[in-house]
Amino acid sequence: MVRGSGDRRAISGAMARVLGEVAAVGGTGLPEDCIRACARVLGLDGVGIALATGSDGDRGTEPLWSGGELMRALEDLEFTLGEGPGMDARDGSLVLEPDLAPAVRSRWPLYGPAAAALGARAVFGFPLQIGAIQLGVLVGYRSTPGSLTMGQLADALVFGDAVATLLLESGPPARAWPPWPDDPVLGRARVHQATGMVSAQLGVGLSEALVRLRAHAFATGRPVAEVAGDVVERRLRLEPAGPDNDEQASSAPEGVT
Amino acid sequence: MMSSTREQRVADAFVELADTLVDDFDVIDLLHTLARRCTELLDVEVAGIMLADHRGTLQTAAGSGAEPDVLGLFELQNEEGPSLDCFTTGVPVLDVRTDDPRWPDFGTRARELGYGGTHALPMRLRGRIVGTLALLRAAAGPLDSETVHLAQALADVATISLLQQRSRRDSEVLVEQLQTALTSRIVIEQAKGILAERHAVTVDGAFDVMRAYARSHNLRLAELARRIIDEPDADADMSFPVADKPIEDA
Repeated sequence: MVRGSGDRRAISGAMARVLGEVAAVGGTGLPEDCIRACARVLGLDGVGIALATGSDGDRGTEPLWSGGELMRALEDLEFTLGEGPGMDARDGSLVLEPDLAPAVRSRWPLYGPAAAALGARAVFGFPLQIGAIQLGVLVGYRSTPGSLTMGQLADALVFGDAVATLLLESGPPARAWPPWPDDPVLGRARVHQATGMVSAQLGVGLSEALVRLRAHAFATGRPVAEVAGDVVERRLRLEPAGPDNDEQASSAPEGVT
Repeated sequence: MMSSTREQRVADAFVELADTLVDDFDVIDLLHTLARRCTELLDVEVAGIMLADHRGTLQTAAGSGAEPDVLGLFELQNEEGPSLDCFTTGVPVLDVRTDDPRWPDFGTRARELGYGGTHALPMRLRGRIVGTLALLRAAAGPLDSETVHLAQALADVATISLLQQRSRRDSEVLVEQLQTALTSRIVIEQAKGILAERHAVTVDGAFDVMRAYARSHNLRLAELARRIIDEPDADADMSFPVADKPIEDA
């Protein structure tokens, strides 16, 4: 019933059953329970879906849905650090990292250890494509290290196709997507708002403003989403870099970094 | 029993049509191929394809010859004729002679042009009828069953390609719409932040001003947002409420 992109792939009975439910729902937004059930069939402890944004040198992703706190944290971590499975999958690669243990040299020197410290020991990234067009990415993690079996990999690829189809059928965001806790419509709205504010505060372009936000988050060890919230609520103001080129910030009441 | 050269030509025809299943291709090209192959392999003088537009009206899409008279004969079938009936019912309408009482105008015209027999086959896939393949012969009389089967098979392959191409096109359009919508949302949030900072208001307050301005100037929000980002004085004539007390801590 569900075909892989191009050739026919066999899928497990369990995945076929869940995908059947996904197909039945189609067109009315992301069926969260079904997505979670699919993740379980794949032996993943959480998955997240993000849409591809930008082109050429400006490629990124915008999170659409994350299953759970840890998935959200991993999303934010990638965004802050600028590396990780989602970013690699954004470029069309299939990403399979069965062991993020600090002792094992990671392909992501920053993200690897940080993700492991958060509790993700294996991560996987699947490009979501329609034909040759990059629609987004599906990222999943496991809290114990381990590879996907061949069966799980086959299931995952078909699941990716199903998600891509669902995204198209559900239409543009802001109509059918489930809410995030801090913003009913766009998960990273705060970050984009903060980017605008920092851009006006520092008199720099949006790209540089975002870099400054991420740098501050990295330097203070906090998620970008949190830093962005502080900026928007005016608890935090990024100052232009001082004479010794250190990132400075002022925060209420009279705090200075 | 087909001769081996005819067999080869039939096989070639299918391969040529089926090739379009894999690559991106030009629809008109596909239909011309179908029409041409029909005249080569079947005992007919003219083949023409009519496709339904989004309103369900049959339009002539391609023909094996470009003579205006013949095209006119096909056009006539928007109003009446074997093709229209075939399209409406989804079943072949075969062996239509020029004196057929169902379509007098069509019959007269066909006779004038020298086509004694017309046969229309549906282009359909699992209940979806996208158009018809019409075959014109000088001689009146039925086509043999082998010819009918072959013609239908050629039409079927072309239909599959057509529908798949449309589906791929639709998907690409949807993806573009999705990504455009996403990018628009992002720039709107960024613009809110810029205004909030410049005018010492909350982002929600900034959004209220943006919305009102966009409405009164007949702009889409995304367009206004881009201007706010790209043009330093885009907000020059926007009016912001004066804050009752300073937002920053004293």
